[in-house]
Amino acid sequence: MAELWINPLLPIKVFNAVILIAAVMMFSLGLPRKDHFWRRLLLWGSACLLTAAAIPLLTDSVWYVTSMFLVTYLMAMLTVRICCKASWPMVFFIAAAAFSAEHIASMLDSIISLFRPDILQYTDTGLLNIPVLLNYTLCRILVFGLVDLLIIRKNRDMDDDSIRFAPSLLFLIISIVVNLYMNIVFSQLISDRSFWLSMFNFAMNIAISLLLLLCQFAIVREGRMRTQLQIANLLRAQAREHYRISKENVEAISMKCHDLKHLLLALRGVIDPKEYDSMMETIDSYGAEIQTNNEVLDVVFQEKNFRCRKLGIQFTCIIDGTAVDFMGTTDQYILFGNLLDNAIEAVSQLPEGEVKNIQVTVRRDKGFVIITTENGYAGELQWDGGRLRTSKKDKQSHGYGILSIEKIVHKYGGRYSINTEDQIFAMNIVLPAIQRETMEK
Amino acid sequence: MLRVAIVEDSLRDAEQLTSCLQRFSRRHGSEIEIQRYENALLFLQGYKGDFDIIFMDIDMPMMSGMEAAHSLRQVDPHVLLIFVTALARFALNGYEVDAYDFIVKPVQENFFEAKMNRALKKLSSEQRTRLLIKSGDKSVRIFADEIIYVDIFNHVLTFHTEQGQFSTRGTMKDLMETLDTSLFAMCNKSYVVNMRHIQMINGDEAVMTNGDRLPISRPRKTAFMQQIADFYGNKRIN
Repeated sequence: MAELWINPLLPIKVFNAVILIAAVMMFSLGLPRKDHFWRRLLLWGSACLLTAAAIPLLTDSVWYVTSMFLVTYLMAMLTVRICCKASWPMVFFIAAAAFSAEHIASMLDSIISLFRPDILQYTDTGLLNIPVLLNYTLCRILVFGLVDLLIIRKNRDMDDDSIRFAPSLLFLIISIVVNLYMNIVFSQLISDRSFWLSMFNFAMNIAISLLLLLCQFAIVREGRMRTQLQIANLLRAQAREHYRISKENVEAISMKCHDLKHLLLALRGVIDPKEYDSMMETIDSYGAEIQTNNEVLDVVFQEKNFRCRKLGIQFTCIIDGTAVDFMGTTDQYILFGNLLDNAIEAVSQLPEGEVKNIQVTVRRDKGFVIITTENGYAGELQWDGGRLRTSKKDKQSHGYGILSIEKIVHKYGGRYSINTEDQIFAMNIVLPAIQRETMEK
Repeated sequence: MLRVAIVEDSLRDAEQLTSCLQRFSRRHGSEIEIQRYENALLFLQGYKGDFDIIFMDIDMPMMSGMEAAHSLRQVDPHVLLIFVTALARFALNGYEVDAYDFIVKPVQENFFEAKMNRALKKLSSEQRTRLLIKSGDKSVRIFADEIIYVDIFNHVLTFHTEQGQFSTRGTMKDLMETLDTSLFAMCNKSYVVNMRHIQMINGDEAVMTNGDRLPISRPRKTAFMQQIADFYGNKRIN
């Protein structure tokens, strides 16, 4: 009766559960954790181990034995859901990847044991002898380490949106099937256990699991790049339309101001001089365009000027607008629009009473164009691997702001630097000035 | 000691700037001597070229700060000039008169602090470093800022300067240790260029002010462009 539980499979089952949990948690490191993470992990982990140990060995049938492990796999997968804040597609995705990694490790383990079957093959004592245990553990450490280095670290920024339900589930199912059954199908079909045939079997298993693992991440990366491109293109199209409308508005307002001034001039002497002066000033403030000698910049500055007036922000510019003539219209509009939006966002967070001022310079120096924005900012700036992180609530859209600035700067072969000394945020862009024909598409 | 001129018609604005300067001087323990002129003509008449920094108001009667700056540049092309302006909604053509920077009235303490620190850094960086090299059998002294670029072939360093070429034996590693990396950058493994003397970037070539074209190596291009961006980032309007 006791053999149902106490048998050479027992340590293997328990070790397997530990390894699977380690694998899924390794892939979950980037996920936000639920409260009491460690308590959850400890409790659920123990439950997994106990369950794994408690499943009885009812028959010796290889199909039954394998299916016993299925329970452990599913429970290990649930660890992610229980300990971390993850959607189901994410859970499937992580489990599929972790199981593939584990399969690669276990096949490597088998390959190595082929060379010294006398000391490395599992025997009646199961895992409980030093060389076998060592081989078992080292293979996992090696494979998991490599997977972490080559795959996980490069995909840290993966988010829920980029992982979809159906493909993740499919990968999970394939991964489990490969893990548990492929090996057996092979050994059932071919009774020959020669060195080379076994080697071939294990190698094929590794190849398939590796392919699965890589495909999984490649599909997500591909999808995410497509979405980003779509968003960028969408924003671009919107910007083009926005520019058209904005330009019309600015022109219309200037024209109206011009007309109003003439009207007011005609009424001079008729109305109270004080009244006259204040009305003139108001009209001037709307009509006063920022003259940069560049049509696009005039529109951008005028547009932002209206917004700044509402927020009590001052603008100071030293601008040679012709310096950026070589850039495409939409690029200019997006670049300067985003630069000013970021600056406005930063100064509007300054406490009441502080002067809110934004300084912009665009100038030429030899063969370079130098664009500088300077503004005060409140609080601490957050850096994320050399990249500035936003303090804005709406992270998504702000991220695209910096991203589109960077994209345009790089498109023209330039770079930017940021200086935050003395609580002044200075962004400095340097572009090599190019001939118009070469860049305009 | 720092000698500063304030050219400003409004007494109140001049006093505000003065007290900013005095606070700055107290905070940093540096002595600042301030001379105020109430119009640009007076300033230009008495100009002897002994100021380190000039704060010039733009909007003044009789002669505007911009006009004054044009005249100033004819007698002194180098002095550090900072424009002071009330809220400007129009573009200032500061680049025409080689203005270093500009500040807005009323002067904000934080902007002022940042700009002064940068200006002082710039002033102190202008103390020119000299290199002593053995060219042939004589020793030559050259100013680092007069170097346009240096190349190395077969362990021979050639300094291309405004005064001509000088060659000496040496290694790139030793050279890079003596040169200021905020001014000098490597565009490929055999050339170190003075970023102040890059006329333009033309595709994968750096065109120098003396007309020489140096290839920029692919793997270095990104880092090289970043160094140029950092260089101009510290340089302000200049």
